[in-house]
Amino acid sequence: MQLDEQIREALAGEAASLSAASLERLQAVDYRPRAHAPGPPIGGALLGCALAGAGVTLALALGGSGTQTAFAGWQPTPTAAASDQTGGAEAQCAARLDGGAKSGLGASPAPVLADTRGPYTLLIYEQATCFAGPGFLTVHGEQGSSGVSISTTARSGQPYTIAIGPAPSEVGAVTLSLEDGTSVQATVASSRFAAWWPSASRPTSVAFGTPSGTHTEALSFPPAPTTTAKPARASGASG
Amino acid sequence: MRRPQDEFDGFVSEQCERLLRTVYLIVRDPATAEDVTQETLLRLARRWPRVRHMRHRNAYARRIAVNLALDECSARRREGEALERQGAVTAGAGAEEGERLEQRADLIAALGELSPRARAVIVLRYYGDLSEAQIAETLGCSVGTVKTTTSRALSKLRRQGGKIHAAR
Repeated sequence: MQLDEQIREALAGEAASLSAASLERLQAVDYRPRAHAPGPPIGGALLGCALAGAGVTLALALGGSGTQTAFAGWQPTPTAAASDQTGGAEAQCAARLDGGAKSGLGASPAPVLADTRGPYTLLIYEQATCFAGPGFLTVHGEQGSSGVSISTTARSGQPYTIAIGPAPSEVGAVTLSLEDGTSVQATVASSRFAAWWPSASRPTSVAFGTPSGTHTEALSFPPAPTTTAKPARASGASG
Repeated sequence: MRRPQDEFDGFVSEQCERLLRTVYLIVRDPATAEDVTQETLLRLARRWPRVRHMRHRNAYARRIAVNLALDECSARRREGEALERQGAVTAGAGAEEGERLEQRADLIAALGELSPRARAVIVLRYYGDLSEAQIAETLGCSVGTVKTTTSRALSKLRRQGGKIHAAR
């Protein structure tokens, strides 16, 4: 058998060995951007303007909330970065973002905010988000909303959600309340806040701590789709 | 006339499997292949109003997927992983079939020894059935570079495959 033919056969065999579950998970995802449904304010008008443009830049999810096995060590409160944790993540993300130009991703070289929770580092850039953890690094481009935005995606079938929003200069602390009852404290820097959690649970309110008190705003996002909400598409191998 | 959303669903239905398997052959890890393919489809969804009018949108999707896969390889340095599971495949096979599967395992292992970029060229050529010009467009390089990379990769595969086989 010629080498060409052997390579074709080997590659076809190897490609076919990939579990059908991988394809099913990908096809169960709803990739379409979703519209935002703003909720009524709970109290305090100080931050109403900041939230007026709130929106979901992206919402996609696999399965339900609460599965955290892929994100062991996650904390609802930001933790102090381990030695060189942020620097290491920055270097890796910079390398990815430099290479991102060819895949259509542009970004400024320095992050404007770094959120660390256990072994995970979330870096927010002007035009991108970089999420690093043990053995993985994921870059998302084209974030962008003048208000609070959430982005739910998955790693190895485990959903996680990133929330980003504006934090006026007088705000010193931001806490998000999720529909599953979890409270997640965000990191605040550069007039923004950012947080993430290992589930597809939607935030229902955000509390801004200021010198004059705490102001809470309601948030309303469409529910994350589940694998049962959208029927799996038929598989196809054309290309 | 189909709605853009339906068009995108149709596109995913048609292309998802091919993209996933191509990415898998480059990154050689199922979970990473899922992540890369998901990110590819995510970017396509965001840009769909523009992408849907492209004549070669399959090629555009492939370019995003392959470049993301190569970025992932660069970040993780996954080369050199042994595909031990191939051993289990050959264990229950007949003598002739077993030898064929051994050769296949040798080749897959040798592919893992190639640089990610050279592996991508081989995958696009022999799994994707792309022309040298199409591979050059996908990788953003010249046809000459594709020819050189292919030639060197085939030589290495020939040598490496023989070496692995002889060592058994």
